[in-house]
Amino acid sequence: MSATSLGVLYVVICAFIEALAQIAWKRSANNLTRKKRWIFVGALAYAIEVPLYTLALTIVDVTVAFAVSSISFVFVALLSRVLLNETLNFVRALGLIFILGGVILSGDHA
Amino acid sequence: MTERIPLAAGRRQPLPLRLVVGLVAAIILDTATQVTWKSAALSLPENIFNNPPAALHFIFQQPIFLVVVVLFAAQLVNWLKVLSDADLSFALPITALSYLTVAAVSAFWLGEQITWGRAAGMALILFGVFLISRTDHNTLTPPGPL
Repeated sequence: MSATSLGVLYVVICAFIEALAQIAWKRSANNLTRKKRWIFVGALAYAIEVPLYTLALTIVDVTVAFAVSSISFVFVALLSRVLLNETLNFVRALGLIFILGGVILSGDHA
Repeated sequence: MTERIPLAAGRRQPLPLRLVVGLVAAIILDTATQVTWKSAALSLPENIFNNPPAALHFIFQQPIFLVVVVLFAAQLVNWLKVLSDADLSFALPITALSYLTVAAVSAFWLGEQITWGRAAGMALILFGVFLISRTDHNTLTPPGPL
């Protein structure tokens, strides 16, 4: 694996952690009793994400890193479906496919 | 929760100035965060991540990373204000324009290349975000107070 593909992989992992953080924020908003626990989970995710994204930026252009990080939309949609029972309709799924295509194209031009 | 008043067909609500300022600020802060973060990453000594604890220690002592954190916090506060004035499905595709501003500013400032492949990738992402914004904003009926 080349250095730049490793950098892109780090950004994808960051985006996955970001999606977990978003789920945690949403849980904290939905949940009246264990708000603090979910806010802590969200903050912990950020604490891991920040150094990892910094590492990624030492390797890849920010133009590419920022574009690739939009794969978090895809992770958020999938995780919300599984963990929050949100629905994934056709247009939304189509939008996610376009985003995924754009991410792959951007990552390929890292 | 505020009650939404349905508008007559064909009439558009005028955008409040506060919302316009918030959206422009969101794009500027997004761009500033990313470009500053990249500059900060470039300022790190080579191979610093071979020793992760030392790298963390070093990073949190760099003033430029403090700027990143401040920008990040400002972005979050501003974003929550925007969302109190507008639907997420309205605000999100507009701030997706920051893919373009990040590319433009990093090309100008950091000498990054905007190749056709990258431009096409960003165009696909923008279109995908636009499609998602066309869907209903709340498909889940809450089960009531827990």
